[in-house]
This record gives sequence, structure tokens and C-alpha cells, in this order.
Amino acid sequence: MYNNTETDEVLIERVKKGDAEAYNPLVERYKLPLYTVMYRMVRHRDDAEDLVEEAFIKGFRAIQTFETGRPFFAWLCKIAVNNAINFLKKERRGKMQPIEQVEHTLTAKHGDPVEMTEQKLLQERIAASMAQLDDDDRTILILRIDKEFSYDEIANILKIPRGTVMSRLARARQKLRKIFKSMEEENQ
Amino acid sequence: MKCDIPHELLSGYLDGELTNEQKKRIEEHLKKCTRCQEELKELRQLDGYVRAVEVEEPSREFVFGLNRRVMKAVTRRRTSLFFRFSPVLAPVAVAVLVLIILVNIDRQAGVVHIGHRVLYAERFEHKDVELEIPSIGGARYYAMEKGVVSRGEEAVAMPGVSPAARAPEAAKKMAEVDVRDEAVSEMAGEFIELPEDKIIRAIVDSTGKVVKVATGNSIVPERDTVLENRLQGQQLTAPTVAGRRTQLYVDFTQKQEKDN
Repeated sequence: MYNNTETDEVLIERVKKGDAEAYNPLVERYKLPLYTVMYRMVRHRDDAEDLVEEAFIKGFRAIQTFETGRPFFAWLCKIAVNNAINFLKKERRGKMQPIEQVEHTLTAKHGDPVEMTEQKLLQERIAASMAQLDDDDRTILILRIDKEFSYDEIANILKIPRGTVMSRLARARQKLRKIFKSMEEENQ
Repeated sequence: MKCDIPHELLSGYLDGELTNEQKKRIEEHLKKCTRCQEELKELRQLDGYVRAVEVEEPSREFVFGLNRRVMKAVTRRRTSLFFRFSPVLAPVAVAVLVLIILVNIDRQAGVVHIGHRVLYAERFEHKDVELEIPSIGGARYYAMEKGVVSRGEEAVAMPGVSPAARAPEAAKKMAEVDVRDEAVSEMAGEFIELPEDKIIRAIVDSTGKVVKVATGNSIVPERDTVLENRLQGQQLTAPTVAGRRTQLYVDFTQKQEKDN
């Protein structure tokens, strides 16, 4: 049995050597942070949960490719994000909640349903805009904006130079801005 | 006013990832360029929107059951893979084993070499061939050899005799000898006790020289370092197949006893 004080590196090395049980603390450690990322991408609880589960299983199967010394969560994020992108491409609709359901949920939670629904719609548009970005752009935005990895960390995760991180991130932001603007115009 | 600031500098400024020089340049520019001010504002807003996307609480099943499901999936996969491929792997393993034996079989001697271990088939008649080991104090020994070496032909590589002149079968022979009667042999003036009723096996290298000696009747005989030290480096047979070690069953019965 493993406790939660073992470092990622120690646990991963054990998994690599065939000790599957050592993977359990890693799942416990990263399931909620990963769920957050997945949820931000697909905006649906059940799908996000399924994607997290799938990412952990894929991560286990690919664990031999993990390079010791690199951040495990970032590596796992990459698997999960790519997974989620494929999922969204297949689903297309991204399983957005019907507006009636959104309104019902918000009324139950907060005060003004009209105002809250507007916020919700804004978030839906952002999520949909993110869904339209290509894999690289989405990954880098998730890593930077959502998880606040530094440029150096992102460079390390994606195995690209720091300068490329900077230019790719700027390009991704411009694309997101453009898509988001066009969505806003469509809805007006 | 023409704006020459690249987007990546604005993006980097937003993330606080610029050098002091770049940062200073952007800040100076922003004072004058409303277009960049607007763009920076929008980018900041977008980041905020992305971060503010609400995250619904995960289900209870997820929080308390994910570990179990993941662990079950990863361990089940290992097992199922084995069983899934076992109908294919089993015949493949048998085929590989047969192939190994076929490749290693020495058709002339009827011998199968697997590593240094020698399994042999008794397809040759027993012939007595005298083996002489020069360094052992003049004592003479006999080997009862299973092989195609004809009577009188020396199986020992003698100095000055070309290996090519020897029958190749001689190099591959299996010599098997019973340790007989007296278990004491005189070697270089000393008495070496030979194990009674035990087969002595010697591994000779491709030049025919002894590299290891073991005694015992089991499949895995016990290494005899005393005998090994005595015999190591001695020319026991003619050179064998290049690069291949051969295991011999040797009888060090004294000549006189043999003659008697």
C-alpha cells in the first residue's frame, strides 16, 4: 500500500517496474486538478469524468514513455487534453447543456436568472471557441491560462523552445479572440 | 500611427514573461498606441473568461470510485492481454523451441548443443581411444569414446600435427568414460583422488583445451576445481568446430589397468 507522501518520480518508477499499485496515489493526487481541466474543455460533468478516467488509463499504458524528471501532471494533462480534443471532434456538439437546464440550475443557485444566464452563455461561447482551436493552440492555452504553467515549464512539457511557446501562445490567443468575436457577432 | 509591436510581446507582457527591456518597450508603446491598449484589454478579458468558466462539482462516484475503476482497468488489461494472446503465443513458443533444437543439432555427431550443455544420441558404437595428457606426470589415461574416430587414431591434438589433418568428426566426438577401480591417480608426482563411480566431464574450447572440469552423474554436475586446476589448459582433443565449446565425458583410467 502506498501513502500520499511518495514523490511522483518514485511512484512512476515503481509503476514502470511493474508495480501497478503505485499508480493509485497518482490517480488520487491528480484526479481533481485533471477534472478541472477536462471540465473546462468539454463543459459536461459526466464527459469530463469519463475523460479523466480514460486519461489515467492511457497514462498508465504509456507510462514507459514518460521521461523521469519531467512534471507528471503536465504529461498527464497533455494526454487528457488531446483525448478531450478528439472527443469534442467526434461529439461536435460538446454536449452543451440546453438553455432551459442552464436557467434552471442558475435560478436554483443564484439570484438574477437573466444576468446569470448571460454569464453562462458567455462561458459557453468561450468553451465553444476553445473547442474550435487546433490541438496545439488549445493545449498551450490550457497549460498557460488554466493551469498557469510558466513559459519555461510549457517549453519543457511540450519539448519546444521557449521562444516558440511565446509565439504559439500569442497566435493561439489571437485565434481565440477572433473566434470569440465572430461568435459574439453571430449572437447579436 | 504605425504599430510595430508583435502580438507575442503583448501576450508575453500579459503573462509577465518579458525581459525588463521588452517590458519597458511595451509599456512605452502602450502609452501611445490605443490599438494595442484595446488588444491587451481584450486578451486580458479572454484569459479571465477562460479562467472563470465554472467547474461543476464532480460526482460522488467520481471522487470515491475513480481510483478503484482505474486500478481495475489497468490490472485487468494486463491479465486479459495474456489470455487473449495465449492461443497464439503457445504454438509460437513451441515452434521457436523446435527451431532452436533444429538449428543447434549437429547432424554428423547426432549431438544437440544448447549453450554449453550437450545432449547426445547414442548412434555410434563405443570405441576405445587412448587419450594422453602430457603434463600429468607421465601417467597415461584412456577414454572410451563414443564417436566416429577409428581405433588407433589419436583424439589428442599433438604438437606439430595440423588440425586440418584430423577427421572433423574427431573434433565433435563425445568421449564417455567410466571411472574404474582405483580412485587414485598419480598426477605429476602427487596423488589426486578421483571421484568413485562418477562421470568426469570436461568442457574443452574450440582449440581442444580444457577450460572446465566437473564430476557427477546428474544433469548438472558439480564443478571440480582441483581437477580443473590440474587439467585446465591441457590439450584434450583436437580442435573442435570454431568458436564452439564441447563437453566431453572423460575416463582417466590408467593405461596399465586398461592393458590388464
